[in-house]
Amino acid sequence: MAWHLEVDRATCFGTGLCSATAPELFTLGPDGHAVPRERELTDPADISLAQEVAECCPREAIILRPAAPG
Amino acid sequence: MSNTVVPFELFSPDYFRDPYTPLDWLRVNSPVHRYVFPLGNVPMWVVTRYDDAMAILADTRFSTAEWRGSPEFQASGLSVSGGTILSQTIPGLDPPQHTRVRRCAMSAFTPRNVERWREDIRRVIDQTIQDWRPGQEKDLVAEFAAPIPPAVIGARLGFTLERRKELASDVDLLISTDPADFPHIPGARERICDYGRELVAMKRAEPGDDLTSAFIRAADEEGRITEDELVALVIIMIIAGVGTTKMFITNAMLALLDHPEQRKMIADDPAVLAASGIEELLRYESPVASVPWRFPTEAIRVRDVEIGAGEPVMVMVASANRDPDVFDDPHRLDLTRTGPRHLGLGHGIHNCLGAAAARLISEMALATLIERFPDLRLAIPRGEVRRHEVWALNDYRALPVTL
Repeated sequence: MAWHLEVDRATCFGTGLCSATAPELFTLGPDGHAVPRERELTDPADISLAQEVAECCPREAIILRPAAPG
Repeated sequence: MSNTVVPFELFSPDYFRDPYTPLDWLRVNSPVHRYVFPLGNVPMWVVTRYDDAMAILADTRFSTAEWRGSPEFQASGLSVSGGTILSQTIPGLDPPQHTRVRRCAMSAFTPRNVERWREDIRRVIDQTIQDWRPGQEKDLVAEFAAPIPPAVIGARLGFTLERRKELASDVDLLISTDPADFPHIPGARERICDYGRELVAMKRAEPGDDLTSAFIRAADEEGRITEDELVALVIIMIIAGVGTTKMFITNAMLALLDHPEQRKMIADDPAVLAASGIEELLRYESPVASVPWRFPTEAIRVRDVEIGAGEPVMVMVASANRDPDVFDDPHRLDLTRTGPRHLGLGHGIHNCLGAAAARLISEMALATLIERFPDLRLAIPRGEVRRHEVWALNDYRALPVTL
């Protein structure tokens, strides 16, 4: 199943936790806020890592949810 | 550049009287500075620019795990954990272990959850100053900044930190670089580890609706962390509880005593603290002057310098936060300042887990002091307010004031 990965830019503080922990999933944009590299994750390893990183985010700014079917 | 001779002695008594002038000099003249730590003659690096600090803190090849340190570092006696369970505390872990342990603790400390601590914090602050009257003399460190954060965190963890003062002096010993303290350090490490084990045993026997019990469940029932990681998690909570927030409240109050017009801004509208003031105070003088040593897992080039694997790196956030390339007029305190994020609470995987709690406790403590004691002033000459001389900290041991 595909999961949708998003960073709430209004909440993100740019602590760099996600981009340092999982540079393959996140990067920091020019304004210092986190940006997901892929919006849709299908690899179970990526999904599980994204979930862990989301739980480590000090701002709860990482949103991971099942992608709408179809 | 890398062997630049500097016109001052780093971490000397003169340095601690005014660290910002030498740090300014380094940032311009030797931004990645070769430095031999006097104790054990350990070759190290001192990094002072904001962009370099960000790059290093964002790069997990710069590990915090002390076992990765150079042979000179290992031989020096500078290791804080000394091979004990303290090496399992979150700040010293690399991913993926770091991620696994941090996720167990993080949700309790998000801004949304910390917001529910308000009532507790209010009660602790009010109890602390209930007998205080204008005109009295108080030491703001011992009587205000030191007791408040551990009382708040103790309430969340589900116990009273009865050995708060002993714990605080043992933590001092742990990070001491004074050879006279060295024989006492192993004992301090043992006492801290024993305290952590006792608190876990106590809560295991009588679990409650508290964080420690939740951590114990994560270990015992969910198998998410090991027993050592569990004890280390409780230890880092109590160490953080007695340390950095105390320093931040103290540093912030001193900065506000030095800048009456900024203090007036808070008296007129305390909301300025939450809006931008706390961040500016964290930038201006964060409790942590340098984040804990980084140990490169391989040789890494920073600017024109190659840093060898294991060579300890001091990332001076106190200097990065005063970098004029990033902050206009960086030595000026301006509570309304906005713009780039300061590094006072770190950056990257080890950015401060308790940040939201530290912000809220400090904001409420400072606002209360300023509101209730508008004439609060230093009770000793400013020149007699002295920093505790530890390379990694901006720490004042006493702040005597007249209320």
